[in-house]
Amino acid sequence: MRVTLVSEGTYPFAMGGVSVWMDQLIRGMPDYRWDVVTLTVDGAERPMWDRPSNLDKVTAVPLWRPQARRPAPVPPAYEEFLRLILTPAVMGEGSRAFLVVLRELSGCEDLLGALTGSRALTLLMDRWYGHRMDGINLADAITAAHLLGHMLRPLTEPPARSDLTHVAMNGLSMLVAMAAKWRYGTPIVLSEHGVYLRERYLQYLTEPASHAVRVLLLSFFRRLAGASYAIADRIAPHSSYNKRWQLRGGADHERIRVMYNGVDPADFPVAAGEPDRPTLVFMGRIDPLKDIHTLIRAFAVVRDKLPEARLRIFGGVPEGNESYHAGCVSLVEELGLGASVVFEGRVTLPLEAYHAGHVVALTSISEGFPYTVVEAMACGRPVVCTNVGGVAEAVADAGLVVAPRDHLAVAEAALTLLTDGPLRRRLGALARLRVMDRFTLRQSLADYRGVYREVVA
Amino acid sequence: MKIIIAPLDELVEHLRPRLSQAVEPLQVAAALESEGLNDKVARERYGHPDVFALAEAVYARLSRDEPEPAAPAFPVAAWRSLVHGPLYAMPAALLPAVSALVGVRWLMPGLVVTTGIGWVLGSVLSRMAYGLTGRGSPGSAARTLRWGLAAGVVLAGGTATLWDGPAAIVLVAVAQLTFQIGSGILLFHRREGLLAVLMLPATGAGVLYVAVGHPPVALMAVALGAVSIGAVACAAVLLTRPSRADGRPRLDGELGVAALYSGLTAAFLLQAEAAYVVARPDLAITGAGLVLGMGVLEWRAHRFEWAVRRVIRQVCYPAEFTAQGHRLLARGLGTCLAALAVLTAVPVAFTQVSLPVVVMAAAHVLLGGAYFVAFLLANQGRLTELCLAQGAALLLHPGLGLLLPGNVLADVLLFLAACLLFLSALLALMSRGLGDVWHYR
Repeated sequence: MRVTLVSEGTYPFAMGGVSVWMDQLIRGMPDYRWDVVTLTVDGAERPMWDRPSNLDKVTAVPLWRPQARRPAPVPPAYEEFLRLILTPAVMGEGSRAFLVVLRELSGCEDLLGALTGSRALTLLMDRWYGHRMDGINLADAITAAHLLGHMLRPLTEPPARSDLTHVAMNGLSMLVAMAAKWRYGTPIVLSEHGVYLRERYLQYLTEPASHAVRVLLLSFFRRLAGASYAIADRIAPHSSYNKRWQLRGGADHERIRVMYNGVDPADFPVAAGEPDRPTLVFMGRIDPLKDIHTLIRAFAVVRDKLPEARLRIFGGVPEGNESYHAGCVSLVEELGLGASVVFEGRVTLPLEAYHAGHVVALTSISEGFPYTVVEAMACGRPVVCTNVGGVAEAVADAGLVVAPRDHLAVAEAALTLLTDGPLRRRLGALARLRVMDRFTLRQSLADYRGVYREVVA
Repeated sequence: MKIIIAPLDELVEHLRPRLSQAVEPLQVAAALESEGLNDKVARERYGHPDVFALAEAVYARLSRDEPEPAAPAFPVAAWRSLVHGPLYAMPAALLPAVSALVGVRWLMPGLVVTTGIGWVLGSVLSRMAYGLTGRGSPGSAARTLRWGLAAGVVLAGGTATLWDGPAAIVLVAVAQLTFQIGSGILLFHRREGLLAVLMLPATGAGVLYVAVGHPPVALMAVALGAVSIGAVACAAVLLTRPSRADGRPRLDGELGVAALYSGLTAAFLLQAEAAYVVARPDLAITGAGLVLGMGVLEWRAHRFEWAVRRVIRQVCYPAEFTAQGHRLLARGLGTCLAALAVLTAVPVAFTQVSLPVVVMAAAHVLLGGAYFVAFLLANQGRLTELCLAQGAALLLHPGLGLLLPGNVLADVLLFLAACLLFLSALLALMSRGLGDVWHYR
């Protein structure tokens, strides 16, 4: 079987949970042939992973690479596209109609030129004022049309031919799968680690974009999410909690299968001992979604009570997150934490990070089913996590789960585990047992094989 | 788990700062989940079946009166642009003194060639430096300018040694190119005042020589000129002092087209001037207004760019933008032509006014108008079209002129026609561009 694995901004050009999962799938099913299609920024990205022998082709689709732009005729379907994204509708309704529109737009050779010409902008204005009472100006319309022109680019790329398209996330990656389904009838499995739409919503709460641009883009993402649920043959959320968003988006309950991430217990053996000083560890990329500010603030409270405590933050800074990293460093200085907080940078073996602490913390504001939590648990380390996405399902009673953005709650939980040795060791042992019982790589791969067989058959 | 326990209104007030940008209830649901609220809390604390229903209720209570962003202020102080013309012209005050020492026969043709070289090199360097700065690589921008300055000095010296003239002409060529590139670096760093101060002694001495005409004053003026230009070079070197290379300049096709356009533009103006620079100073002086008015052109170009971007935030439909854009273009062009006409008329008034002088003056005014429009087109990256328009003008003058009998009036009339053609072509391109609002995003 040949599978095309599609994602946005991940494997093999970036590290992170989704990339780990993709690498696991490819290496874990050596009897399958694989192609990877990755939506990238500008095509300048370089692979960061060793290429498995059964991965035949990696295709980068740069969404934002500058391209020569000439005004092009507006596709007839564009008017309906605008009507659908600007019409208030119950989430999930009209998804079939939106798919028809996207299919027609996929026949347009130059969507950027078509959507940014004066005729298309006039149409956008007509449709906006036909459906909404709030204001929009021409600058907003151009910005939104320009962004949409780039985002829809995967629709017009030649689709990959394989037996199955497995999409790692909803959103723009699904455009690649849709094009392959329309051209070759290729079935689609849609995995959702987090919830793409929810993450776009959170992103645009702080993004410096005007109201009208936010309306247009978020309405587009909402429509696209619904259309993706409608066209996917199997939908695989990585936690039960996230399934709610898919049902809300109109997904057919029958086609949803919760698939948990798994780890190889041999790769994450139980730590032999504990560090000398009370140590809290974070492992993951430096990213606003991880809310590292809350972790640092929580640690300040911990250090007040436990002056010898330290926080070790393991993980790289992805491109574009440099200012967030600088903000984290400034916060450490501002709180006078000095050398007790160390940014360790990227590690080759995450295992070293988990073994380096008494407790592993994750203070994200949005998650799917994070590997870092499961890996830490496999190492027998108790975790302090925020209750987002599938985190509570992963941890259950083998760690402490608190509200996101609440640094006092994080601090209280971390202090409890750092100061109560018997409790810490009991939860660590429970964590290891829980992983062995439910979240092994072997179980995860077997589940995917089963889904692939069902869909292709 | 610690959860916010509060009535709905209190929850709304708590979340209002975070949700000021929310556009629909589902976005509120995402925010609620990121605050730790789940279906259980929605049911037990707020009496709604799930987070989605709670989000609907919260969204309904949020007022969405987002303030309009303030209109951006005009980014560049007008005087900075306006003084560029006089600053470019300051070394011209030294020309009579230098001519007296070197000899006009050698000086003027040499200056025409080095001006052309400096024009092309300066424009390429400026493009590379602005590109690097725009991409967040100010260190590499500085290095590029510094190396450009060194390259300019070598290029000018090397070119001048090829001429069969006095050795002093090599120094003059080096000094002139050093000023062109060095002053460009100072203006890149917004050091207009410093440039004026550094060049003031030499300019004053040059003017004094014109007034008194004594050879010792010429020597003093030239010496002061060397000191001033040396100071400009030192300031340029200091401003571009070694820093970490943080990016690479893009040596792509677009840079090549930019260099070609600069070359064509320099060739068009300089070939027209060169014919008269020694034999007919009354005709050559008609170009002075264009140099003095370059700052006006830059200022109006900045002003136009700023104004169209303001319009684009005020109107809804592309047709409205196109109409207002045309009005702004007409206003900008009109201002440029009027300012150039005045600046050209002043030096011309000191000459014996003749029909060829009037025609040549008009040609320079039109050419200045074309430069204004060309700045706007270059900002949109339409360099190939600019090359074609300038190429067409070159075909007319000197191209067609080579087939006609050598007559001053015919030549300047043809130059006027070529300038008119250039301006008309650029206006046509600009007008078409205003119909495609994307260029102004």
